Amino acid sequence: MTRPERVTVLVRTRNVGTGIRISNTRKKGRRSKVTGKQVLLILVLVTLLMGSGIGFVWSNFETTQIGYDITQLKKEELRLRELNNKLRVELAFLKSPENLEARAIKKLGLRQPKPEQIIILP
Amino acid sequence: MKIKEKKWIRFRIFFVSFFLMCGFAAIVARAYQLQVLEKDQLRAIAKAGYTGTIKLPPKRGTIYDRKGHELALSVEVASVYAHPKKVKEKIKTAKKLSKILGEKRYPILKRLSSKRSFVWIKRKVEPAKAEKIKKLGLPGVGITKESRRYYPCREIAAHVIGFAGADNQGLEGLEKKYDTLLRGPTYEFVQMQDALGRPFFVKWRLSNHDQLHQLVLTIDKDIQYKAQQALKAAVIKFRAKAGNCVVMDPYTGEILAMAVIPEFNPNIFTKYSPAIWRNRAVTDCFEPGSTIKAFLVAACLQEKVVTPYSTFNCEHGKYRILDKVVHDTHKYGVLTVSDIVAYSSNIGAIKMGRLLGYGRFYQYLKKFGFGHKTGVNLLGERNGFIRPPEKAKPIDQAVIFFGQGMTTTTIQLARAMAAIANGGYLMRPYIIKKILDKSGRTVKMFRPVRVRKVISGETSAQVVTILQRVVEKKGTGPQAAIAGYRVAGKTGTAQKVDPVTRKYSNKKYMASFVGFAPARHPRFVIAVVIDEPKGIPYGGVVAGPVFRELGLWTLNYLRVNPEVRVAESEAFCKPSISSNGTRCGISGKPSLAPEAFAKAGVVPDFRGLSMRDVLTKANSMGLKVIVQGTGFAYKQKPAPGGSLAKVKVLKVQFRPPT
Repeated sequence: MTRPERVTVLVRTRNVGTGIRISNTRKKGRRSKVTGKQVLLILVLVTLLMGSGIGFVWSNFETTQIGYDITQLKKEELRLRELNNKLRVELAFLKSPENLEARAIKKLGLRQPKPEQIIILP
Repeated sequence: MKIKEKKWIRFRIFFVSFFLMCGFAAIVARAYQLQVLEKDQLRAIAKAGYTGTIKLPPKRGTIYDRKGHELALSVEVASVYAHPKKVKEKIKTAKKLSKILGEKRYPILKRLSSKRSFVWIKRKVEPAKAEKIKKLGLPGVGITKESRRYYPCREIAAHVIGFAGADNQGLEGLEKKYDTLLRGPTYEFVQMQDALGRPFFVKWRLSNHDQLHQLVLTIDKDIQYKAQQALKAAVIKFRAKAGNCVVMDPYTGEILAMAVIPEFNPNIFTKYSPAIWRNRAVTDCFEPGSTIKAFLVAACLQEKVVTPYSTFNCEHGKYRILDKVVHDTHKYGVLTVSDIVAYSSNIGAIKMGRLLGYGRFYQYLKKFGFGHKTGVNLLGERNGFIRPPEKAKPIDQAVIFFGQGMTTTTIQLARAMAAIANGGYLMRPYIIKKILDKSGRTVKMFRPVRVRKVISGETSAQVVTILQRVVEKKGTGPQAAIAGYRVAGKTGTAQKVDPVTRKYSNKKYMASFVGFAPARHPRFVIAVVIDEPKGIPYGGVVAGPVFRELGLWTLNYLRVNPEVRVAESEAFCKPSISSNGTRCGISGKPSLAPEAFAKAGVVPDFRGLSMRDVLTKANSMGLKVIVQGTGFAYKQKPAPGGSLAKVKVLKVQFRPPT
């Protein structure tokens, strides 16, 4: 087999062993020269691509982590809300007039004022 | 050979591609099966793998009193349940549970042996106990969260608020009436979880669209407490069957307190009989008795049938109407209209009423709101009953003038009296001030509603003057007088109808007092009704003191200044107080000694006195004092010794002793 002289010429030939017609076309262009600028551009693009890829993965990871945190905090919120509610009930129980009166009398030794002891300021 | 080889190769290609096709077809078929046919089922399995749903128990809106104190609120508590089929060692499990829960073993075992797939072991247990059970990790036994309603003030306003049941449903009172408003949504939250089951993404979801609301009542927790205390004391003292009391703002119709005895604790409502849950102030009708005379005199004065000074012959206590004889408790001769009310003469009332006529009185009673629901937002309100003129027999037409042959509820009585107190306007009573949404913004505000004008302001003033005489020494209700303030009211002692004999009983009475204070610019109307007091049946004696105690406390609570002149009047000098010779009247000021009168025109010297002494002294002289600082007085303006004539306000400065 000889190399065709002109690149544009199609050479069709049969395989000697099998007899199957194969095509063996090849274009050969001029060897292009890659400039430094282009290399730089490609490098920048590749870095950008990789960077954005890493960024995407990282943000996904962060999302998941924050998701965990949110869940924890939500649970904590629920727990605190409930606790707050329970404390409110307790406070309300303690503030009930019956309880306050009993405590004022027993603990502090206070008495109901006699009418003449009450002076209302103008 | 070449051709053979060629064929073989072709066959091989065909063969391989056929296998590949078959394989592809199988994959497509399987994909179809998984993606289309079994899609939902598989998706659910997958979802269950990476998501978890947690249901939160539905909340209930809080109920507040008028000052924002909680009267009813919900908290999450734990409940213990079991799947009996999954419980392996039933006897052991029951033993362990009974130990922690403090319950008998047998009923727990019985529940564990039930054939149902789900049973409650105990609902609403303390968190500590639930934690213990959780730690045991018994198979088939679980803990779930439920919402439980608490009533921190226990018996206070229990009859008004009612209560909610185990499943968060309102069963009585406002809890029932406003159930749809109070009931909150069931929250579900869906969480995605990783391979280890740790949740990492949470989404809230509402299961239904109920919006949670909160109620603010017009009830004042402290007045309510005092009302219940005072009423309870009276019911116990007179060994009465029951009692109820309504405190109302006459100008707005707001119910400040509504007490019912016997009380119950809504936290453990199942321990009381349902009869006790009833809010008797709106659901029970009774014959008002003499209290109706207040409205009779209002009607008569409004129609100008009589004047306060018109006189009637009270027949010395006996008066025949057809075949019946009407009696007065005391024998009276000729009485003025004012006296008839003050002494509560039945015969006088009949004669006065006859001038007015049954028909007109009937119209007035209707105008005062009797025989109709008041429209207060409470459950089970009753109408009461007045016999229309066409159905009234002659005897009915006579006895209605002293409150027999008609029925009313306590709240009707209170609001009718409020119409006299506030210058003639019938108000619609209300007990809910505001409806708030979940975050506390006002959704609906209830405002005072004037239903109609019943009597003129002039008539109202006349009636108030007459009603003030009721609590004077000679009237029927001196025990209701509040020293230092002008009080107006009317007592009532009604015989009850014996259900067996269907006649008026001589032993069973309904004692009542309806009044207001201060008489001129009333801050409240109080209606007290006590059912079947033993011993003394009179309204003035039984219900009067409740009015006095509650009224005095409420006036102080509302910071109403005593009306000094009343305090000074001889009538209010209680022997018990003045016996020590130095004190007189309620405000306990030293009685004005002669020298004090002599110096009345001079600015007194307050320097060196304590704040209490300064205030009592100034109060007794009718001086207004502005106090500054604490300790003892050291400076005053104007200076002592000057003329009092132009002084309106005294400024006194105090400092602690050095």
